[in-house]
Amino acid sequence: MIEKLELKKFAKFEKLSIQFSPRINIVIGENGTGKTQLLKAAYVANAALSDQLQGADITKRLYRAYRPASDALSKLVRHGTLVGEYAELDAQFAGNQRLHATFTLASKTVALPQSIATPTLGAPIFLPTKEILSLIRGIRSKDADLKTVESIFDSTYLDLCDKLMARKPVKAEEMIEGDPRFGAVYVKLVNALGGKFNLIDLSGSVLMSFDPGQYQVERDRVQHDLNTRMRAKFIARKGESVSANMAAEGIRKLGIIQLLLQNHQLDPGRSGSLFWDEPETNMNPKLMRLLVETLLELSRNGQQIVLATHDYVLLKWFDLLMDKGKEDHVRFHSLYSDPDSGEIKIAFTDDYLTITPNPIDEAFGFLINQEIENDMGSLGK
Amino acid sequence: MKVVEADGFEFRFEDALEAFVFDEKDRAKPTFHGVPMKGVDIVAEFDEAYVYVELKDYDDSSIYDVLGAANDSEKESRQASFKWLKNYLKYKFRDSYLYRHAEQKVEKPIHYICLVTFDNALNSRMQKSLKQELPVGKASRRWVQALAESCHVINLYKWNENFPKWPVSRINAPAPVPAGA
Repeated sequence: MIEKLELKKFAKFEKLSIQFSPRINIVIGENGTGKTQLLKAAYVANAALSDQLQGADITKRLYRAYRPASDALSKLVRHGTLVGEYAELDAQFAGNQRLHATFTLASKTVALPQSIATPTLGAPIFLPTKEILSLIRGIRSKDADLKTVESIFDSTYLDLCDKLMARKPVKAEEMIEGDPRFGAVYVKLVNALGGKFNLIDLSGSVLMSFDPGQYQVERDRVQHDLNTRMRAKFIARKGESVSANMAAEGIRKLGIIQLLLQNHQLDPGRSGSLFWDEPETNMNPKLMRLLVETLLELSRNGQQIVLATHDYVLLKWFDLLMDKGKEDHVRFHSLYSDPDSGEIKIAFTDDYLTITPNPIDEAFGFLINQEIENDMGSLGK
Repeated sequence: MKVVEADGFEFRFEDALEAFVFDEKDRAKPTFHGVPMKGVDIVAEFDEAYVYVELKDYDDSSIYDVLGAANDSEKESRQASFKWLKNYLKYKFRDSYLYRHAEQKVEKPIHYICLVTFDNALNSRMQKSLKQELPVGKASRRWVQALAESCHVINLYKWNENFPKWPVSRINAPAPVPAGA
């Protein structure tokens, strides 16, 4: 779980410090304020620790995630930085785990001033903006040219494909019975989606399908124990399974969560942070509530979440569905360009109504201004 | 310059011909309302238009957010709140228009502005509903004039941004609620 991230002269940022909630973090900001860069920095830091990487490999990860114009660290140093000045990426995680990477315009690899103790962090997950289920077949095809694929997609896409295809899924029914926390999220999600997505790797050709149906749940109250064990059986709806490409586009993004839960790559309480860049893209707005309910449920089960959004409906659902009685906590981080210095700054609040600046609501404000001008002309001006 | 105080806010209308508390309760004032009809808070007159202003200062906007209701019963109660506020704003305007008709003061276009302390997104939804029901413009083929030329639901910040000649400010910050109240 990431607690704090400090970026100095790194990418867009002159100096930025962000304190994360252990539960849900929502990053907002106009285009060009570095939301994705921020998420990627935290993601690479988490992955570097969980994979126990050293300087040269961390450097490669940075190139793959940010894809600078050329593989040179100078391209990741903020514009205007002088020779000899250090760019820094300093991420602190729960349990006093820390990745502090520095580099200059002349560095070949990042330096790690502090050696990394054997870390115990779970691996993070990054869900990029584009929906990946419809792309995975092409990306993983044995006929695909790796160089071309890497020139189109940054590592967040390729890493996610790896995670989606990771080890053969354990039978979901067994996991539901053995892990009530998993069962609670997974069964609800499958039933809300009206079925399950499946991915099968047939030696270089990925087969996707969507099996319509739903889980029927039985609950056994274990004797002398208040724990409730859940048993669930998937009842397929009649008819053949359909290609995942045929399943409504809007639900495929939620299908990714279902698949990652199913193969335990997303394992609340154990995996690293879940980063999600603009979940609303390609998402049917009517599914936004289900999306937010799912994220809240993951968070209640110990999953830290960091997402970036432009979407009012998504923000508002969090505001309305969060339940402080269930210890829900949502922190809103607002990135903005400081009008005086031109530097990117960040402000945070735990109260939806006090998000400042709030470019999402301001977008509605611009509509209001135009309507007043259309209707009232120069009155009052 | 006409200065008007209403509901804890001070309006300064730089270019108004006239501006006053429309639902004036003070019998001693020439603008005393004195009729059992609803009334907007302020009416201001300008060369080319009248502006009606109604203020509603809320603490908790979420009770009006119908789209965001988490379940059916919450939706129902929010719908009731939203509808209540919409009707409140609607009938205030209509009664005020009738009153002004009797004063023979409806010869210029009328703009209705509701100052509500919601975010812009929720204000937009309220405005859309209110415009349909007020109604704005010549709603019937038979009408030769409109009741309202336009209607806007905005917050204080948007008011000051859009009407620099009519700045509004809070006279007193609301008193803190005592502990245990």
